[in-house]
Amino acid sequence: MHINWWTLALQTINVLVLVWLLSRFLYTPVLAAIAARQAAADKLLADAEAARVAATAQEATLKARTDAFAADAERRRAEVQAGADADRARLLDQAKQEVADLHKEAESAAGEERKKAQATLEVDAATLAGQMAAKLLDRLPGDITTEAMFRALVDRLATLLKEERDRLATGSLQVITPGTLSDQDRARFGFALAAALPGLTAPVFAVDPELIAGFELRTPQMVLRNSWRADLDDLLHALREDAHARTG
Amino acid sequence: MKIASPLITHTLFTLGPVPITTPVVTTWAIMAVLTLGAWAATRRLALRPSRLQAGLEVIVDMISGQIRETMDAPPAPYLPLIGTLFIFVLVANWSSLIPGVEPPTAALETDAALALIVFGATIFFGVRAVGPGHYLLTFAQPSLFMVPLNVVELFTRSFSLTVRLFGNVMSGVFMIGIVLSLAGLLVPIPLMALELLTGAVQAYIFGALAMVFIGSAIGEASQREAKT
Repeated sequence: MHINWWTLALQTINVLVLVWLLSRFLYTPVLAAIAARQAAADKLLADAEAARVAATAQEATLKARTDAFAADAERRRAEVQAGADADRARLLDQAKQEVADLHKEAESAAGEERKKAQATLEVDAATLAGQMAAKLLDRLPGDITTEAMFRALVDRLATLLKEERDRLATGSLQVITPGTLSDQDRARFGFALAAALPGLTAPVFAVDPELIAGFELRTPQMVLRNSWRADLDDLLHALREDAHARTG
Repeated sequence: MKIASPLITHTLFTLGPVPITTPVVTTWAIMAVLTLGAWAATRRLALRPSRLQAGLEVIVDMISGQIRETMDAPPAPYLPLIGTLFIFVLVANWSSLIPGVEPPTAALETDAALALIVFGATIFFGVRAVGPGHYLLTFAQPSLFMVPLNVVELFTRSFSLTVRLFGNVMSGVFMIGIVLSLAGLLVPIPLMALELLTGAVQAYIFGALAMVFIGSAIGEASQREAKT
């Protein structure tokens, strides 16, 4: 067996040179390319991560803004709701007040109407009563009625206080009758009145058909009613008082 | 037909006192092809790789992965040596497919040169990794009585590298030569295909053993790096 030492040395040098050559022209460039691609991939990943972080931050910002908008909208809605509630309550109170006022006005108007109707009815009743009394009176002899009413007047004068009689006697007395008296009746009633009212001067006779029957004595200081009209008025007044007492 | 002895290298010419033999010239040709090919293939590397660039990256990445797994160390310092050993042995073995070309690895001097480089690299990387004193102490592991055995092993495993590669490649070439001289042109083709497989396996084995030897020399430093 023979070893060619020159060949061994040359081959050793050749392989070492080839190591250097391939390191220079193969491994270094390829490893650099791989490293560059890795760096690019890392950069891409870093950029993507940065973009993701930025997107997350932007999302958080937008969410915060949306939440703020929602909160503001909720606050505004609450304010509008509160305002609407206040307006509704105010309008409701106002409407209730107006209804109460209208109700009160209606009651007042109804009371007025009722009073007017009642007054009208009273007038109508008084008129009707007067007419009825007049018709009833027509069936009686006028002298009898006049005499009876005059006696009632004299009796009434007798029940008066002296001061009241003096007041009637001292004034210019006016004697009102429903119809015209004859001169004879005027004289007779004048004497009778003078007897009942000492100091009486000659009275003045006047006619008022409203009296229906009876006499009324009038002075500037006093009026003494003694007629059917006065009796009917008294009756109507008593009826009205009784109705007021019953309706409360 | 006379078959030449595989242990004899033919001198093509001499440069002064230096005889230039066939394996040397073939090695130069392989170096030229590999260097020019690498230069041409890596001229225009880009982020978007071409098929060629992708293939180169796959090869480099695969060798780096093997180094990382076998040596349990970062592959960058060892990639030029291990990668070049693998590629050169592979191309040299496969060069026998070219008619008239005898693979340089079929010459004992080439295999011895490769083993010598691995021998030197083992010592170099071991000393660089753990320091000269500590490296010498590794021969006394696990006990002082192992020093002679470890020293002998340092040489014998390099010798085994040489003999293994030389025996496999030379035997293949020799057998193909015998068959070719006996049976004609097409009969050796299956043997040549088998030689392709054998050449690839031998290249892988040579590279793997180089990694194992260097890895065992830097093993302590690698473990220390791994711990840190």
